[in-house]
Amino acid sequence: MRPLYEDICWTYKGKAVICYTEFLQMQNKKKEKKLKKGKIIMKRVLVACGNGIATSTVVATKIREKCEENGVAVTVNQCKLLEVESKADDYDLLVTTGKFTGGTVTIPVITAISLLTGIGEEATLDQIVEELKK
Amino acid sequence: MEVLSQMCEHLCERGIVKDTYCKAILEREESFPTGLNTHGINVAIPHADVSHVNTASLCVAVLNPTVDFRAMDEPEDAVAVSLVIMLVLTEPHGHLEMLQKIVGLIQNQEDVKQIINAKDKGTIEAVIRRYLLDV
Repeated sequence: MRPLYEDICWTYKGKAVICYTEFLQMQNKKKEKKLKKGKIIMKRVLVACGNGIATSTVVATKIREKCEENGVAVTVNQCKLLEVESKADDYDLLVTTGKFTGGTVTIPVITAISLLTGIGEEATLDQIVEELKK
Repeated sequence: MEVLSQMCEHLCERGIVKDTYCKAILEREESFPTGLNTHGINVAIPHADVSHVNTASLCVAVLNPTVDFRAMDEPEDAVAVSLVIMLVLTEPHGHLEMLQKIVGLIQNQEDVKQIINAKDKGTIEAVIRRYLLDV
């Protein structure tokens, strides 16, 4: 279950949904009580690791799946830790696998090493969902 | 780090990676370490930019005694690593399923133990295969 176009797409039950409105409509049928049409804002998550290739891919996927389960609409993008400072302003949440020391960001930061080691994985995912529901 | 150099050399000799790979791995490990503290058998997952790789592969090393790596989340801390799984990737953001399976393996300490205690290559390969290739 991988989005075809990572920036604008979302997968829902294996179907690629091209735009956000379609996603909402499909979600509404199932979770009408939880989602109020038009009021949900797509949250943006930036996932960073050393190279922006390997561990961030695993973490980004787990975040997408968890958010889908919880009815939280998100776009998840990946980058290198070195790029974080210049990109962070466009996002609501920063999730990193390595330690972020490359400057200051104004958005909340969650370290998600647990999504790789498995220790405290659920707690971290819950924390991410909580942060995005704010 | 000697372990990584040896692994890179091994890959380089077989033409799996380019000459530049070893330097890339070592530099990358220096600035962004990959040791994972699992509170059990610790694992490191070194990897470098895809531009240095010819053929996507995995390179596995069992270390006895352990070798200290730096921790990914706390670079100041040392992690005594018993198992190195080097990810030799050719597609950025690719190999997703395989990566997830590797994380699945790391999270299953019983099977990591089986690799560490293996007497021969075949046993190691069997566990790795079961995780990464089957299913």
